[in-house]
Amino acid sequence: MSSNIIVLGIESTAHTFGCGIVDEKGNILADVRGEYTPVKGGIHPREASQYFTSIAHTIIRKALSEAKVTMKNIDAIAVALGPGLGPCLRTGATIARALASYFNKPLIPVNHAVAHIEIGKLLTGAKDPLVIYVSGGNTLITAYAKGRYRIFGETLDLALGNTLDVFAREAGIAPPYIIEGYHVVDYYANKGKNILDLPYIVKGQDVSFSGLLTAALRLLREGYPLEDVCLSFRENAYNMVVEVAERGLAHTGKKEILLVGGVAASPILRSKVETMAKYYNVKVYLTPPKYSLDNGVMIAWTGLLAYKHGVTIPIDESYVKQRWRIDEVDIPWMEE
Amino acid sequence: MRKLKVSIELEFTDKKIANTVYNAILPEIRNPPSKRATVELNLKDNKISLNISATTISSLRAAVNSYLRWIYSISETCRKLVKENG
Repeated sequence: MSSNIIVLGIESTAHTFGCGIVDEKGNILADVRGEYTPVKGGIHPREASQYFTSIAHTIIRKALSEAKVTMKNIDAIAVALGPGLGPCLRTGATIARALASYFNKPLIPVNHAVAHIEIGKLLTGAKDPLVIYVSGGNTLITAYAKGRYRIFGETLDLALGNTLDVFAREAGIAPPYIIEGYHVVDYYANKGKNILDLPYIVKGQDVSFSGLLTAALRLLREGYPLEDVCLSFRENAYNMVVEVAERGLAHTGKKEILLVGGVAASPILRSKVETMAKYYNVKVYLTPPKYSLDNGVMIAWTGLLAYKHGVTIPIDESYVKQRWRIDEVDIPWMEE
Repeated sequence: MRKLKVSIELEFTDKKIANTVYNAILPEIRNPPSKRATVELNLKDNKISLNISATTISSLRAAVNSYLRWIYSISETCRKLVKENG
């Protein structure tokens, strides 16, 4: 290994094809992203992957240029092999394998969820947090214990971000999904006045959003004001997550909370988590919004941590894993 | 049941890129995204051959598009990086 390891990471689990380059000291040398934006509706995995194949070489070249390095300076290639959308994962994986093969570099498998946590820890200084991971594809409460990130709560059906986006689309208020820094549901919810009766579903340590989504859309069809439905929908959805996080906190006894994933950018959710954390005298760390979203930097950084602990994968065994759970991944760089 | 087949042979100017394409997409053939299409991949010198078969024209077209796009993306990435990075 070289004196200052440099890793190039590729992210392509959903709508973003990202290439990040980091060094061993935690410096972000490059962060280049291309985002697939559907004309209407949600992500179409095949269309997203086709977009990725058209931009991959430009993104990688830009990243190398931004980092002021060449492939000769890169020690290893990290790639998100899951969880995510199959066609998107496969495109990123083929490009990463190609780089590893052509330039004779080790290939490092990275779990996308672990990467969200590790970049959050790097950028906030959190050491051993309870993690609230909320994004378009994932909703889970996790914390490190005995060699892995263990799950202390998760969604039984839809992810929180997907729930918000589907509601917004069906309500006719998205795209765009973000207005003035707020998710469009938060934006309209902030103008709501009345809390309406909607399902609040916490089962044990898990949450379920599908019934809430159906019921909220029904209220809209029945003529209730959009702002009030958004407020009631948002309050229930976020409070459910905060409740299971609170249970996770009580169970694990962690002294830190880290918010990661695209929905972590919501100021409303952050505020609710901070209120809960204050009650338990726990410190809250918020991943900077830019890195709460999918990016190649988090893959590169997690790949670097793994590489330093001898984790690599032969190219011919580097299969994508669409449903790769976070609790299936060994975390050798964390200490008990 | 009828079977639709497409055979594609691609000749690369650079043998190393042909080898890279083979290495990069082989795992996708061993672990295919669906059973609707089957793909055979062969490498000989600087030539890659793909034999794709499926039972429906849409599955066949989807598989052909996927593999050709991956191959394009890989070869463009390698070619341009070598040009710029030496």
